[in-house]
Amino acid sequence: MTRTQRIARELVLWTGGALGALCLLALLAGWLLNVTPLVFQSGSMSPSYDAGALGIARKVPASELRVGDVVSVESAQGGRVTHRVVAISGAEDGRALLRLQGDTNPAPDTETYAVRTADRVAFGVPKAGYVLSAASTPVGLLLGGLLVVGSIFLGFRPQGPRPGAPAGRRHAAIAVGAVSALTIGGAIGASGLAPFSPTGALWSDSATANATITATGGDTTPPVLSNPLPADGASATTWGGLDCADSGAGFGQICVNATDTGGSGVSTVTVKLVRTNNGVLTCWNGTAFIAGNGCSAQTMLLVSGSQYRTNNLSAVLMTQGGYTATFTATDVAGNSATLTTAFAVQPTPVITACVPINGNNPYNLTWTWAGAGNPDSFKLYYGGGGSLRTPTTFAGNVRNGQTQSINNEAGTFRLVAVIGGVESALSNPANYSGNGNKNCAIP
Amino acid sequence: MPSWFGRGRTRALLSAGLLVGVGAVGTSAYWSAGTQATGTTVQSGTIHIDLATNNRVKPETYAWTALTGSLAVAGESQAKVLRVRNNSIGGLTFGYTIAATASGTLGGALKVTVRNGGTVSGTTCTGGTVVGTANADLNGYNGAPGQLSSSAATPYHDLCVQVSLPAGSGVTSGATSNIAFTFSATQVVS
Repeated sequence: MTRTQRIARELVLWTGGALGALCLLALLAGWLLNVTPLVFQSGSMSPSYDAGALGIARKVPASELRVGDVVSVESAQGGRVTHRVVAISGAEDGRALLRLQGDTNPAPDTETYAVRTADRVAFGVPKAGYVLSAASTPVGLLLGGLLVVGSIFLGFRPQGPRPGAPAGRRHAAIAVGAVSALTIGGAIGASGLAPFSPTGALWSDSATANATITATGGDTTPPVLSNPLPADGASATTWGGLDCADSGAGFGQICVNATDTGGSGVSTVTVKLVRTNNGVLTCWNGTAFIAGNGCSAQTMLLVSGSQYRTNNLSAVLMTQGGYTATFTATDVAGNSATLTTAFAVQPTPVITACVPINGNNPYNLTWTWAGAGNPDSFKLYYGGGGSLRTPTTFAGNVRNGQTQSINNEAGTFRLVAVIGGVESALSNPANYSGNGNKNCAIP
Repeated sequence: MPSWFGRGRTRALLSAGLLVGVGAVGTSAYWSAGTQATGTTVQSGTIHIDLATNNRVKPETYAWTALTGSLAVAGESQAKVLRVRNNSIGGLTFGYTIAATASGTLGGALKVTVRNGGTVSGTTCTGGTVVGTANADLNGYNGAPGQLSSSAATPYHDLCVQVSLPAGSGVTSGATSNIAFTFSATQVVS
């Protein structure tokens, strides 16, 4: 044997022996220590683990996993995914639910992995995965086989004449041994006991398309509100003289008509009711009057046809005061209209005396008002011969006052109370007349 | 004849371990991958799912102005085609899903039909394969059109998306809804 042949023989034997030992050690380590080599098939975990890296992973129970660990788990498709843990939550049956994300992926994997154990990557060897990959290709397998056959042939070939062992039997033993080893390995792999596994450190990407849709057409005509009861400006001494007798619920309600010509039809009608009395603002919250004007509008009920009414109002609730009712009607298409009316529950003043004041021509009036406290003001209407003079306003807390100069005129004084801008009914008349000598009488 | 390190029989026997190893690797890859491909393949490159003409923006947001428009409350639909492309570097296959959201009351009333390979016919989509459920609620829609390979002759899907507002939805005129279709691609390793 030449020196070159000897070096070649040693090279083959050493390579075959070392690689074989490595394989056996890896198998042993896999079984004894639960260690698994993983080949990173793609680069979503770079730069920690580039494509082609060989990762060494150890199987650990799910309870030992922490956010930030790089773990390899089986996906629903049956492949392996090796990504970093970004979230862990417990499942009902003791398994852990893992959210994994590749370092270069913009978002976590869509799949949530439920696992009892996972292969946690301890470290990685760059590029080494290419070697393992190459070894498992048909060419790699063939080369490996040749290396083994060569090693065995060189290792067992008689290096000198040795009697007693027929060459044919030795050659047969080599072939049978090689086939047996390959069969054992194949069986291990096929049975799933092999600790080797390729892993997809899968990439992901996402894209979003945005658009805006607008609804058009249909009913754009708001409903029409009409015929509020009490009517705008109405006033009476008691609520019973004002309410909507057609309410269908006896007396004591506010009514309004609502129609929709746009086609979609009236959907809701509401009213917000605010009262002012003696300078105090209150509003109706559906059951009572409460301080302020922050009440929400109350839904009205359909009486019949297009008439709607309130619910639960009563004479007990509708006490003295000036009221503002703001109706809102909304159609099915969402168009809305509002209508505001004002009315008052308040007594009418009664003129009790009218005295001429000689010389300066005015008259002095005295009256009573049966309400609680005071109205906002009193207003005096008068005039004669078909013309009305500008009304004179008196403060709400007075019960007498003088008229302006009136001479050579015959007419009638009538007084009203005013609350919330709404005038009460006209009082009883006081008839005046005279030029120089004045006369005033209450019929 | 002297040897440097024994006669070599131990090493020769050890080398048989290589056969056990490659046998295990080859078959485990075979079984776990479930395909005829022997061994594992290592892929390099980057993944890109791109919409319309956008190139390798990651992650991408595309203003789909063609779909932006109005629908009559009396009931109307419109249909547009969106090209979803595997623009990955390196021969890379991904599977992808579509998830849609739509805001507001109008968004709750909108319906969607996605047809992979469909074409626009008036205001509706025809042909192709329905992805997910036809006429599904747009808000919360999910579909999986399948896989795209960047090395395919046509590495894209033309998705015909039909958005409709049914009659009698009660949606008011002037209501708007921001709608978003999110395409999530995950690499597929064979």
